[in-house]
Amino acid sequence: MEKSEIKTKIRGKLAELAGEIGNDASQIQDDDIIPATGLVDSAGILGLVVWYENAFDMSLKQEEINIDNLGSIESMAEYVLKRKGG
Amino acid sequence: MPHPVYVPCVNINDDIVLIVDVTVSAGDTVKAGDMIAEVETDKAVIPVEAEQDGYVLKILCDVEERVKVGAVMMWIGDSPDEQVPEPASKNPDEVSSRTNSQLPTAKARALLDKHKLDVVQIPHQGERLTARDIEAFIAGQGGTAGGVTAAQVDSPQSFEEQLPGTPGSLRSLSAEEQGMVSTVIWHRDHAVAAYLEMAYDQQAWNDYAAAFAERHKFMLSPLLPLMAYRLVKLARDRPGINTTLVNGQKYLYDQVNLGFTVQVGETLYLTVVQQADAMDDRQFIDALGEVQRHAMAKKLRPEESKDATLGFSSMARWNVSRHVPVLAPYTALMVAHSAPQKGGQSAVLGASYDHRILSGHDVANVLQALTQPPEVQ
Repeated sequence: MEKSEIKTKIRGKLAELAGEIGNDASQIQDDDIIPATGLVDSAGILGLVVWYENAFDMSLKQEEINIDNLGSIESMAEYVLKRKGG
Repeated sequence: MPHPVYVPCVNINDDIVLIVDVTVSAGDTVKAGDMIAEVETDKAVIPVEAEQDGYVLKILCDVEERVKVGAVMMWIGDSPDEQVPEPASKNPDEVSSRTNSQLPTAKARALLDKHKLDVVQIPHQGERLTARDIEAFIAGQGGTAGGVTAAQVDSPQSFEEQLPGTPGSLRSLSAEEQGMVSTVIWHRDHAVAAYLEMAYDQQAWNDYAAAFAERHKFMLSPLLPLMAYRLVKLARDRPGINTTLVNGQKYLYDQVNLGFTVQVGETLYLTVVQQADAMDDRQFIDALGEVQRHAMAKKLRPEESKDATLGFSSMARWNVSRHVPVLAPYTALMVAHSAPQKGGQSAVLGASYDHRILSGHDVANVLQALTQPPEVQ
């Protein structure tokens, strides 16, 4: 899967989760730190992580769930490729 | 003593039946097992039989009349001249209203059957005879009747409720819904639940959580997990709050299993971190995070949703400024975190507690300690 395709999927899910609490995530940049944007709350981020594991078919250990690996759309996409050996 | 004959339930989906025949008249003698009437639903016609020998004292229904299941359709007495209890209403069109003052609620009827009591034995002041009337009567008789205590039969499985009159359909509860039913019923039937709350400034906690998140590069705010962990530590130091009451005796848990509510879609889970008192703060946050992810993915393991000894609940996500949580079974305390008031950091921290075990003083002390993060105590 291409990185751009992964980012499109993540962006779509983020928009959906932000929309659930009345926020518009259409302007988020690839490098924006997701928790710092305030577009999704903790439950939304948790939902994003659970979706991420499922969508890209990988199981995360708790210690992998950090800003370095999953903090932005860019880093989330890179981490998929890293885990998949791409 | 007059004995009521109730309109039987023919089919669980029908709460109204048609009287197709009444085969006795007032003054007739009957023997137990004699057919005294027939009732019909869309699916069946069944006979109504006398449950004891005696005399038909009064018939309260007519052939071709539609009557409500559970209404009194006639009275049978041990002798022909017994007085039948007077109905509250004289409405001639409806059996159920004519007999309203003697019509027990569904729960009361189950208790009457269990204890082999007659409706006429039980004094009541309300419009209908209720389970509470019967429990009070039983308590006045020494706490038992028919060898069964009121508490033993006062469970959701021990009686059959009538269906509402409005059309609808039945479906079984999911495992999660059944869990919530059991929790709420334990709270109702066993705990003597009380609630208190304390106002506090959330700023210190927010600062503490933000620093912790930065130090560990967390994706999620650890505010609520850190507050829950603080509660775990308080329970470790004050074992009295990590306790329940079983058969009149205090049961002190040897470990703290922290129950933490998680809403997933329409389902509310009480996720549980087992032996949380053996963890440090980071371990606890990781363990709770994992349990929450399992709940989100609907892949909770059995041990992740049972045996809570203490509870923590938050409705801040929905901007709820105050909520009174239901106690998890066999717990004495559930802390309630709520959203700060708009435009500030002022919030309330509440707690439901089992007043059989904890006093308001005990709980206020816990809440007071919980309003501040550990490093600024």
